[in-house]
Amino acid sequence: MRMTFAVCCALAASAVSFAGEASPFKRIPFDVKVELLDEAPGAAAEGTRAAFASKKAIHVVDTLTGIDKEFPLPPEIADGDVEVYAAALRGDTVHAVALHFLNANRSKPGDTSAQIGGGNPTSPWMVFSIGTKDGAYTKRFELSAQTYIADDMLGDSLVYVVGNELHIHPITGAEPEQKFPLQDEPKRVPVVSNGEIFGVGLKSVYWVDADKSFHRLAIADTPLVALSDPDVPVAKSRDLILVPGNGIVACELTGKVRWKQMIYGSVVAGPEGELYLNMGCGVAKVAREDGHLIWGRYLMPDNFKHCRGAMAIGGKLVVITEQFVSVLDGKTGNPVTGFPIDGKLVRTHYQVGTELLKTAAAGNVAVIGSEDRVYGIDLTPTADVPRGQQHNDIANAESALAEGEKAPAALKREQLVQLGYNLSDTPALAARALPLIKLQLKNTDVLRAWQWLDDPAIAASMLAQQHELSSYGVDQTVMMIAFLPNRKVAESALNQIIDDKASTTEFRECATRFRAFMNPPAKLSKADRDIVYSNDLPAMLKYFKASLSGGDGGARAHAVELLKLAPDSVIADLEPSTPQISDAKIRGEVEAWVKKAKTRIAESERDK
Amino acid sequence: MRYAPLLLPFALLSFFAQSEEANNGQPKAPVEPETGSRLLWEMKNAGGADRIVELAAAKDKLLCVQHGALLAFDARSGKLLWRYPQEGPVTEFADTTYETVRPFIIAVVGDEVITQIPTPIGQRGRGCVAFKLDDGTISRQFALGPEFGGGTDLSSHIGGSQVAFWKSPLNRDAKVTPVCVFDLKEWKELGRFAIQGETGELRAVDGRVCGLMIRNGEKFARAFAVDLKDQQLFSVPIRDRQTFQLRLGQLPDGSRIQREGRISEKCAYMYPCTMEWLDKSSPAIDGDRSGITGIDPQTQKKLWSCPGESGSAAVLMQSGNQLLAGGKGFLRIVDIKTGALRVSIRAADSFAAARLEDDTQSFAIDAKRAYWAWPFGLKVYRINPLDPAHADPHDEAEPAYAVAQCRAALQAGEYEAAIDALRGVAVALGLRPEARRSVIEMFSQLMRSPAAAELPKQWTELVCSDGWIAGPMFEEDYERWAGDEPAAAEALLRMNTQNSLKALAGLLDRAQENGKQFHPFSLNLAAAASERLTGKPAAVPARFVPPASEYERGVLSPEEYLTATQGRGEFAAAARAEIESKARGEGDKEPIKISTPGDADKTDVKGDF
Repeated sequence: MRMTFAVCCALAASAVSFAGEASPFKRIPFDVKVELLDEAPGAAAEGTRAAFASKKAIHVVDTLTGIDKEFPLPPEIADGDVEVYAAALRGDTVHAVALHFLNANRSKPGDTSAQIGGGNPTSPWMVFSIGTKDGAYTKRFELSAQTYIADDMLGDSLVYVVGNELHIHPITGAEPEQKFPLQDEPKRVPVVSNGEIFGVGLKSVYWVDADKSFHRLAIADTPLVALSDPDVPVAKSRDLILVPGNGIVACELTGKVRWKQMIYGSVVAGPEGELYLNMGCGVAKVAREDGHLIWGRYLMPDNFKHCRGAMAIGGKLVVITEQFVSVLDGKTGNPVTGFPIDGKLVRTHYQVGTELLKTAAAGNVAVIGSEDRVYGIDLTPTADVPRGQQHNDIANAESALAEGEKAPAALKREQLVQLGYNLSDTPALAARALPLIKLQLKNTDVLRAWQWLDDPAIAASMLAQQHELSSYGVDQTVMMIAFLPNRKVAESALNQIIDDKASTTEFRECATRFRAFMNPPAKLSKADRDIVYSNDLPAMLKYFKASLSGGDGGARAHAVELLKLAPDSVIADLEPSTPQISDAKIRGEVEAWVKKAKTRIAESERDK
Repeated sequence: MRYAPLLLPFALLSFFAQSEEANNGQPKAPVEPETGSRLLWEMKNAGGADRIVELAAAKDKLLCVQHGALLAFDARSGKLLWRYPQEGPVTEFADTTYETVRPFIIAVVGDEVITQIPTPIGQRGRGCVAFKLDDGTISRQFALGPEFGGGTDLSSHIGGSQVAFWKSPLNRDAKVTPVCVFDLKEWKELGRFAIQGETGELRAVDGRVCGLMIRNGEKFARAFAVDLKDQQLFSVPIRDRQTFQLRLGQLPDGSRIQREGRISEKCAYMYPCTMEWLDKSSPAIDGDRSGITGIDPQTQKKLWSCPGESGSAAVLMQSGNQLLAGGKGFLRIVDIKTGALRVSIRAADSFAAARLEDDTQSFAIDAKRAYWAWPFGLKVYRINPLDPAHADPHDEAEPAYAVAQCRAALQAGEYEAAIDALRGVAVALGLRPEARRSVIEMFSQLMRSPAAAELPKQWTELVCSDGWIAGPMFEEDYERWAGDEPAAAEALLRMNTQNSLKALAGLLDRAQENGKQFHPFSLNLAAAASERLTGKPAAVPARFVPPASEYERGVLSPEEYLTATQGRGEFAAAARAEIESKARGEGDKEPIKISTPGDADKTDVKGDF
């Protein structure tokens, strides 16, 4: 439970029905303050209940009602400078771990220079359980303070690495412990997800399948060498290991590259094998087979300061930042709900590796452990909240819109920006705001906040104000253009950037990358590659002579397309045979390509 | 402070080379292949603590440090000859990359390799141990004494046969650095002293120790020189803010090259200083963004230049007349007298090269071979020149090999590898100009392939670094990109045609327009293009060259800086102090107590055993 920034999610029960019309709707059904720990407070969930720890008690919250039950910790745990993390909620029992420290330099709220992650452990990790019926405390076992314990349990077993060995340790001791030698020095805390374990060492990655078989892959000679950089986040999703490095690389479990996309971000692996990219100021869903873009969503980063993490839960992607929560439909990328939160950072300084966020899923509620609080987010779509309850929903911006409509001229820029954020989950309402927005489209903040709205005026303004927008970063500007809601408009805009001679190199290169991400170029078949990239140039020439003159129209057209990829010398050598091409259209195209090839050859000779 | 072998000073590298050349009386080496693949042998490891952290080549042996152990291989075959210790790692360093005690291999002197490898009879990190090259037995050792113990942040640097050991700082509150100077040939201590302040980059030359230090309460770091005989410490403030990233050049007359200029042996500034001196690895050779430049150490005039890509000459080392330039996955051998390229080998793909930091790689060179260790292995290449009469299709240094690799990768649908295959081909063509036509044809084909469309970033990088060889094929692109992409501006300069130079020089006119933003490096290159065209120096518009940053970068001398700022600039006081220092002919002088073995019982010199 130390030293990683892993956003872990555990999909619990399937989505439950809305909390009940009788009780008032609460978008945040509970919000409990806890002490600031070394890491984010661990959140465990089962069914519609969530469990977490403070220094003095274990909390169990009913996420439907928000009722929080506290179970005090015994003195042997609670006394002294202790950190307690809930590892699992299983029926009537919460399993947890605790470690005592002695160090005055540990983190304090508001301290800008506190060392987080420091401190000298004064005891081993203590593994214990608390009964949620009677609060009974059961001491289980102790582990060395140098143990790396996974955030989540595998069934009823605690998963940890100590020394160079992975342990799967049944918490009750009813079954024998399993141990796997890593043959490597562990670098990070192992991750338990979807019944599997995944971990990273200095020289290898390892995983344990659902059938408890242990596997290890050396990272030398694979793109996984990127993991030698300690800050590179890695994810495993079924038969893929995904590594951000120079772009995102998806490796098979043999280390063979399946695909690579020149897009920067970290991968969030969903429980059904879905792959999302957290790109800092935007998120995207990508295809498992080749990594191409399925959908992308630009998330206004001014309100997304300190993007803390994303979790895939029940077909939705929950993105949590310092000031805003956005819940997107996993299939379409459309916002389901989104609202501002008061999540200001308690810490203003943190070390790399400090976990900022831990998450769990409790039915239809996402449980978020962040800094000094644990809270729940009801994932009900904003539009699905019953009419009579909508006034309670902080994600609903209808009344704010109505206020703005009363006096459009008095609407301040900040209000319009805020409306842009809050109305993205209810596009029908947002259409009403269009006249208001169009008055202020020259303001880049307004433009960015309404980027998601499908309107030609917004797309045109975005393209026209590239230079102004680029103060937010070229990558971000291109992303907001690439992720315009109308895919055709977006692609056309990217092409304009690429073709515009006034575009800077950075804009052009970035737009080209996004274009390739959105529309991977057509793949050449092996047979075609064998023709145009052969070393046997006379055979290639022979092929073109034959195929451009003979065959049916389709075959000749295909041959022309291949000719465009051929070496200049082969294209030029076709000149004497072009008169024999009977198809006038094909002949014209070939002649044009012969001319181009000869020009290239002549030019290269000229400046020898 | 970490000292990677890449930062080994020029003098040390020369010292290895001298040792290598003294190879009389050895049995004749077996014949090594001179054709076919350049890769003679290789070794793979799992990375992490397995990695080889240092290399040195001497007498047909390759010395490596791995797991804190010293290993000697037959350089021709890769056969392990001996190892210290014979089995297992040196416990204390088994699972580390030893970054706190570097270098482990200090030098090769005669038939011995001098190291800081801990031994049962020595004390870890507190002196040096000599091993016989032939069989790896310990021949002698020198212990520094307790004031250098208690930790692992001991460092050393060699100059000629003299090595300076220092531990910085011994006591972080007191900020005192103990220094000991030892002669490896004579095997005796020359003296020791303590310096107030945190120090680094120490080097001993002819009884004098030069280095850099930071003293409490002073805005600037200082360059210093301690004269062991005269017992004087001379120091002068230097402008560079990143002092310990700085590489010192040591000239034969005792003066040193700093980022901002030349400093005399008594720490007075000596000018002028040229841009070529930036980021140098040695006093006579400068690896910059466009390759390697040979410079006369006395006159500082450019003698020759050898083209390369940005970062490809991050490491420079010498063996005899051969200079090894390494970086970005390239190994290049250059004739140090003429600058003529001898061999260019692409040793790593761009993905690996991009992830390699200077301090995760080690290089070595001898008369016949170049050695390159990276976190996951070691490769040994032959470096004999290409046969001018016959192109060898299996030789990685041949442009034809690159073309064949590119075509094969395209055929396999491995587009990144296809782009990668042509990296460095422009430089390689210098050795086989007749392959130009086929290289250009390959560029043309690659440009129209899915590789360029799918991987625009890699493609643009390749076009900028090597595409200029294709004549006007990419000229329009370069012209479009040159304003904000120095690599494109550089490509236009390398094309060196009337059209390309005019296109580049045109940036200067465009820069006069208000609101236009250009990369300052691009404008510097535009000024160079203009000068080539007109024969007259051209100036970059003033708004792109703020005097303060130019002064900090060493482009403006203090006199020029004061003139440019009318004496009111941010660094006016510092500039005046420099001028005064220069006028005095020496820096701030203070006495320093030097103790020698005669009056220090802590020194322990052991002879042969």
